[in-house]
Formats: sequence, structure tokens, C-alpha cells
Amino acid sequence: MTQSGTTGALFGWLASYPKSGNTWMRMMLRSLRQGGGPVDINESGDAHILNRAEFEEHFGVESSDLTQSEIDAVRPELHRAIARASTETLLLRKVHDRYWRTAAGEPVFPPEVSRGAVYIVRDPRDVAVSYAYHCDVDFEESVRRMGDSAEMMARSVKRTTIQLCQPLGSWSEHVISWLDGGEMPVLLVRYEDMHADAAGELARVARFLGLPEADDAEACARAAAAARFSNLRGQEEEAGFSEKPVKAARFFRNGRAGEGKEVLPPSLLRKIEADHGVVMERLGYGPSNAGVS
Amino acid sequence: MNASSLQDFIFFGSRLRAPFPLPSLPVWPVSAAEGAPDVEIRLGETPASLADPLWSSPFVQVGKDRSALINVAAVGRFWLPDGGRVIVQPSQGAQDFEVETILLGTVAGILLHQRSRLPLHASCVVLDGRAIVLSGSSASGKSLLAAALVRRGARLAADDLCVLDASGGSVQVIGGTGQARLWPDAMNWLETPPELRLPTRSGHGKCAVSMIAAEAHPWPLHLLVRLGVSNLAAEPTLERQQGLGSIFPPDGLVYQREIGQLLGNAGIEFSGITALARQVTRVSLTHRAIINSLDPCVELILRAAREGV
Repeated sequence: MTQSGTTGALFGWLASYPKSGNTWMRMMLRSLRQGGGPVDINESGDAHILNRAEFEEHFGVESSDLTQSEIDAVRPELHRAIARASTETLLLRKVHDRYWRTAAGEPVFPPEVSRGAVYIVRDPRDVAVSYAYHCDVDFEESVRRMGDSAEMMARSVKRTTIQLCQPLGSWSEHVISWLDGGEMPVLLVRYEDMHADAAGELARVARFLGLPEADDAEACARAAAAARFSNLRGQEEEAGFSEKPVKAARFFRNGRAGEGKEVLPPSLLRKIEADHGVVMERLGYGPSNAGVS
Repeated sequence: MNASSLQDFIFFGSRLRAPFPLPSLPVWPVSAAEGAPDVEIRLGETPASLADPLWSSPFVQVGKDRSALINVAAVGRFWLPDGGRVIVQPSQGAQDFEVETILLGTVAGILLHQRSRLPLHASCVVLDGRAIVLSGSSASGKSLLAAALVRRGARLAADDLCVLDASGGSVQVIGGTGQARLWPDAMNWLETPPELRLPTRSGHGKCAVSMIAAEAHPWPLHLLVRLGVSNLAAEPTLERQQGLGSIFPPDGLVYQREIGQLLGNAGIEFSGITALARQVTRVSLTHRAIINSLDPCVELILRAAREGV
């Protein structure tokens, strides 16, 4: 909802293809902004994905009476409206959309209300395994989806969704769209580097976002410890996780790096490398030993 | 959209005159056909936008003079100059059902605020002569739950929008349409035949489905159910809500609440919601996904309505 005369915030987008470490980074940031204290994975509030309720609150219209193209066309203005209405200076938002433009050519994530984007990337072979469990599909289907330019999340076709529709594109298109968008500063963070040095990667992200805690190494270490994978998984086992898809058995499943090469059959490893080899090489994800068919 | 002869309809308790059919509204009784309507819809030219609006979004503008303009480009513009008139300028190619969809959704909600009524973002069914109101944000399952309750003997009084009236001391609900707007999964669950699935927008999955409707008069409000969605709810859970703190601020309960406040309805809202809080049993019903838990949700509501909480 937009009243004239407000100033507003800048967005810090936490962008990634699904199952790439976005929630992990988000939990570390949540802890860091609280001085490195414990995090509750089910605490609502910061960095959530855009939803219909926000659309209706800011635009005063019933979203389910609108077509998908009508909603898509005003996504940039919705982001501007949220920024204008906010009393914060920095709005962290989780984003699974690729970086895209409306039919009129306007960037959906308007640079003028963006401080920048943290783009989190993970080896697509590991994403394929995790995404399969997340969507409750087999590996072949998750690999197919990751190669599909038309892939979307939360598209209302048979039922309405709480989240707004998020176009993903293929995994490669997703990565390239953000890294080569060229319209706002982008910080690339590799999931594997978060594994190797979570506190260091967190500090790098915090500096990029301009968080005052960025140079407090102890707070970063505490935040990394508070949001370590085993802790997040433990909380989910005890109390559940509000963001877990209904079909998925659990959200925080394994969290390992390198699982894809171990569990995917050679044919699917070859397909991933055929579909995404160029981008994988750019990101340092070397070929498996699946050979060529 | 072609104009036809004028016809009067029952519009949330008011008499509305329209130059085209509105199949989802009850027709105003012929015996009472004489006299002026409360609201008149006309086809005509509207402003493209309001000058110096108090509030503005890509779809809605509210003027400092309490006028409002709703604009859905593919459907048309709806100008509400004074709460008594709606000037409709359909877009070229807009279907009649699309005009009706916007008219009886967003436009109706703002018009009711203009008319100093208290619209709720809620569906409503009538059971044993008393109203059960199902409120919640979009995608919380209001319409499907209402339709499921109709299958269990209730009658539909309103879908997505109804009016709370506490002006006479007791708390009553005034319904709107006898159609529920449902998505394909919901219609499949209800086994709605294809010929009864009426479109709401071109290229949109949601359809309007006629239900067994309650008579269009105020019904005493017996139970308010506030729907919530949580993946943490392994099973649907129903809990009693008590105290003013559990209902104020009534975000998500009052339809387009901030627009209502801009139109000067804060006092009406406060008195209405306070009366509701004091006189009506309120429960929260939290589920994980309504389509997967309809039967237990219906049972919980029926038990709360008939046996108390």
C-alpha cells in the first residue's frame, strides 16, 4: 500500500536456485543481526519470500481475481511500494526467482531500491538430489526441471498459492541471470565455501550488505555456530519447520557437499554436465567421472 | 459489455441497480421494485486516474474526497465517486463475467467502506439459522471450506466478502453472493460438474460455482473462524480465542482495512470488532493445506458450532 511522502528502505536480495543454501545463510544473518545469538528457525519476519498477503496489502486488490500476467506486470512496483512503506533501512528478502523483467521490459527487482544481491550457488549435482527430496520427485524429474527454461515455483494453476509465482528458468539460466544481470552489485557465494568457512563467508556477505556487525569476527563465528546445519536440522526434528513443503519429508535433510556425485546415476550426471557444463566450469564445479555416453 | 434493461439486486443488504445482469447476486424482490436504489451502476466514461490521490496503487486510487477508482486494464475502470454510484467503463474485449468478478470483489469491498459498512475478508455460511464466518488471508481455504460446509447441510451466504453489522446491539452478518469461487483442485474435490464451473477471468483457473444459498437477509453471527496455514500443524488444530488482544488490530479480518481507515471508518471498525469480540465465539483453525484436511476441518467447525468450544 502506497502513501505519498514516505522515504523507505533498500533491499538486500538473498537470491538462489532452490536448495542451494539460502535458508542457511538467512539463519546466519538472522543470528548475526541479533549479535550472534541463537536462532529459532520458525521465528517469522525477516527475509521471507514475497506473498499474496503483501501484494493485497500494498495494492488494495484481490490478487486471486487477477491473471498471472497482471500480477507479473506490477512486481517491480510492489517492491518499490514495500521499500517506500518500510521503516527499516535494509530489507533482506529471500528470492528464488531468476533475475527477470516484466513484459514491458522493467526489471522485477528494481535497482533503485536495491542495495545489491547475494547470489548463493551450489553444485547442481547436489542441488538435483536435494531438490528431488524437496519436491518429492525422483532424481530424473529434478534433473529435468533443472534443465527446463519454463520452470516456476508457486504457480497458481490448480489451486491458489500463498507465495506469488516465481519463474526459475533452468539452473544455468538462473545463475547467469543474476551474475550477469549487470544492474545492481552482486556478491557470489558458493555453498561449498560456506561449508569450508561459514563465519568467513558470513562476514563477507555482511560487509557486502553494509551490516554494522560485519567486522565483528566473534559475532560472525557465534552466528555461524548458532546456524550450523546440525542445529537447524535438530530444531526441525523437534518442532518442524514452517517453510518445509508439505510433500517433503524434511527441509534440512543432509546438507553435505558432494552428495550428487555419489548418489546420482552416471546418466543423470552426464545430463547435468551436458545441460549446465559451461556455467559449472565458470563456477569451479568440475566434471564427474561419469564419462561420456 | 452490452447494456440491458435496468434490474435491481440485493447487494450486501443494499439495493443495487445495474444496467446489465449480475448472475451471482440475488434479485431484489419484485414486490419492492418501486423506489430509488441505494447504489446505482452505470456504464460510462470514468477518469483515467484521480487527480492528487490520497492513496494510490497500480489498481486502486483513493481520492481526498473519498472517491475511488479501481483499474484492472484488461477488464475496465470502476469509478466510485460517492458511495452511491459505480461508473463502469469496460475495456475493449472484456467479458461480462470479468466485469462481474472485479465488481463483486475489490470494487464491492471499497464501495462498502465508502458506505460506512464494515466489510470482512471472509466467507460465510448459515447453519441452524446462525452464521459461521470463515476469515483468513488469500489461500487460507475460506471458499473451499465454505463449500465443504454446504455439503454438510449449511447454506452459503457469502464468499470472500461479507458485512459485519453491530449497529443494532447484536452482531449480525450480511451476505453477498451465493456463488463460491473455487480453483480446479477444490472443484474436483467437490466433484463439481464441468458445466457448473463458470469462468471468472479469461485464462484463469478459478471458477464461480453456485451453491445452496442462504436467504439474503442479516443472520446472527454465532462463530468466527480465523483460518491460518502452517506447515507445523501436522493435524488441523482449533483453539478458542479470547480477549481483545487476540483480535486487534483486525488485519486480515477487515477487508482492505487500510483503505477503510483512509475513508474514515476507523470508528465503525472499532465498534464493530469490539462488539464481535464481546458477543461472538471466536476460534483459530490452523491447517497445513486445506485440500488435504477438509474433512477434519469441517468436523472441528461443526462441533464448535453445535457443541461449543
